[in-house]
Amino acid sequence: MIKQVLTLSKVQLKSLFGINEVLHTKDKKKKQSFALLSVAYVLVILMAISYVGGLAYGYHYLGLGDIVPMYLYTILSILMLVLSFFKAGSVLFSMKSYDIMVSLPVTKSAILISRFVTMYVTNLLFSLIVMIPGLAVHIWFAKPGISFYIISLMAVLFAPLLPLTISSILGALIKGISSRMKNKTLVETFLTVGLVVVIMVGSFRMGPKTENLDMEALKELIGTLTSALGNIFPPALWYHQALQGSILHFVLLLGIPALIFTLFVWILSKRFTEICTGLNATYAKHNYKLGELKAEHVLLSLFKKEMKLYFSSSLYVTNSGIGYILAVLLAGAIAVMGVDSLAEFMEMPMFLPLIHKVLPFVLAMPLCMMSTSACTVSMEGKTFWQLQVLPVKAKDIYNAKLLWNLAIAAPFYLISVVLMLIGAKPALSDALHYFLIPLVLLAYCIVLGLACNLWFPKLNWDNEAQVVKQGAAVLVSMLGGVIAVIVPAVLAIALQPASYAVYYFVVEAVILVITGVLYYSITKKELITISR
Amino acid sequence: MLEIKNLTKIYKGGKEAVSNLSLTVNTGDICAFIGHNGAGKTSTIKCVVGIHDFDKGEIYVNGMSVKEKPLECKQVMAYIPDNPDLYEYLTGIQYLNFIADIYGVSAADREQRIKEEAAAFEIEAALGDLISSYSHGMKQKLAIISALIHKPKLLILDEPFVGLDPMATLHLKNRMHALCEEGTAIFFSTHVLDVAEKLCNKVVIIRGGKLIAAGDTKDLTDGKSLESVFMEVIKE
Repeated sequence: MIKQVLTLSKVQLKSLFGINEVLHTKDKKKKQSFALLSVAYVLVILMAISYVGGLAYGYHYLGLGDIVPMYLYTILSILMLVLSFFKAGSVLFSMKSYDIMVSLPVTKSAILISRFVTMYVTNLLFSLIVMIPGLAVHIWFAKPGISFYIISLMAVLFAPLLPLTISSILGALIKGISSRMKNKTLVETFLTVGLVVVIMVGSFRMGPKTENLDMEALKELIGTLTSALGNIFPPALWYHQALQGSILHFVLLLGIPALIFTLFVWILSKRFTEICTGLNATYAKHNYKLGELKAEHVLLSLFKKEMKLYFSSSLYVTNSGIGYILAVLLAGAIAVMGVDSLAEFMEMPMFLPLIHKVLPFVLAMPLCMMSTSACTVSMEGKTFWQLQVLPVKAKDIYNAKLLWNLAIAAPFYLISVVLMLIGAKPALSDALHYFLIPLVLLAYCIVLGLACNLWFPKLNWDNEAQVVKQGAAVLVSMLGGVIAVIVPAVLAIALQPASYAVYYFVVEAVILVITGVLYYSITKKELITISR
Repeated sequence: MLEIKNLTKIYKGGKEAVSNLSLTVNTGDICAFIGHNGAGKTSTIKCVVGIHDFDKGEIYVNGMSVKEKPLECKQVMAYIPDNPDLYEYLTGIQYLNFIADIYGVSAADREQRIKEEAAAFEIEAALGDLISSYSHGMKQKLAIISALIHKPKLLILDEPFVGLDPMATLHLKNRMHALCEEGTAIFFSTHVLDVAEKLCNKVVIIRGGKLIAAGDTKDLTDGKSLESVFMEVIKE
């Protein structure tokens, strides 16, 4: 079976990050896109490295160095759980290529494990990005012995197993529950977003509160944190104890995740076919009677098609909707707690004097995290030919896609701005910009998303996660959005302009001009130039 | 209705899929487009319908250049691909309504045409179901209905009979004849030479992207079967 798993995994891994396509394509543009995507990935990795390194440094600086490895391990596991959870269901139980694979002389366990391998490799790379810089800082301060390296290496290698198993079970449960509902995509999305919010809020509350610490309190805090982390995620405690020299906990650290994972794969493989076909079943009533039909305007018809495309994939809805939901949660927190309390709660009291001035940018951040437009062209996939052959202007198609994104974002934008105004109570002159800054940044991000997707379209995909979560367009537009929010916010703090009203107007004008240029470039893009 | 002049299509990487190809399909013609796998049939068709750009030559639909007036050309033609990848997240009727909206077909016209074609292809009961629940043949039938919804002047089909049941195949052949009598030109690729011989008044054969034979079916076959003629010209 190992040979079967290796052979199947090799094929699965070839599609990972589009490396195989780039190696064999003769299309220079695809190679250039891949190079640009690599640069974007490197940027994200560098940001992650500096964040994790800074976090580890901060803990050592506060005298909490002992808990750094287990803290990193817990954070990593939660992140892997969330990330795998989004795609576990669609990767594991996808029917695409299943028919071909199941007809081959390979066991179902081999098919199942090979599907896990892709997620395991992605998670392992992620583990390395999180753990290496954090542990490097820890090693620099703590100078541990050789056993630390061996235990940590094994811990990293086994780290993805438990989050993968849990996320797969949850993903299957959600898919299972929703597949019995009429609006299954909506139910699936609702359950997924709900669980992600619970995990995020839970992990946010896990962080240590560091105000007014003395040495005694610190010692006590280490003990409290260790047991708290252990309660949340016992393997983190086993990792901590293993590093203290406990062989039993080292065995637990590796053995329990391996055992649970093996058990899960064994049980799942017994009913793999039933689960796959059950979860992906479509029900046909076959009783339609043709009634009166209505003609609609082209743009409205395209808009409605966009709406149906969007709601056809819970992964698409979840991925783009999470930022909008976070914006409302953030604004809700501001409305309930007030700006000052929130800044203290989030341990950013140093920004208190200026936080009112950058608040519109703070709200814009989650709104600009992800646009539906960043993968809307790629989501057309193998049906893209349809748009190419229809007598409709490319501009109308793009407008429908942009309008749909705006329609989805608008209620969240309005609710969050109103909540923020209630909580922040800005001066009348600033209030206008509390509306305008997030609005122009939102419009910019929506247009940027579509522009990025037209620059990096990916129509040849097996699994929607490849375009919704791993697509070059999504990554580049996210980076572009974050930069557009952070740069003016940082400048607002650094420059401390005499008139913030003038500063806001300048920012709005600049963003609008960039948005206009991007929109113009989009309208010039012909559909015929986009190929699979 | 369709005029292809010296068409050359070179893919990225340098592969010449179509080389200096010229052909004409007149109003009322049913023209079969025949060749081996990889001969350049689908590439040619995709250049005509606006999926592929091309490097040299010209394509005219109803006297208009597809490069200069792409939307006007698309408005008078319809295309059915070899693999009907339709919007699986729409129901059959939603899909047909969407296509009709794009072509600007009135509510009354679309109602009448859908009713007739859906009944003939025995698919009306399934029109309320999601396309994702359709079989390959049902998708093919839906694609055919959507292509006929705006009464195209030029119908382009890529392997239209693949996946159709015998009843649907017969109905499609009859519809093709009827459309030609109404003045529609039909250009379709096929590997089923028997069907091409009986159905088409014109045949075009290509090999390696180049035209090797074209003309009226009767003149080209000259008493022989199209299969034997095809084998002869391909071997030459």
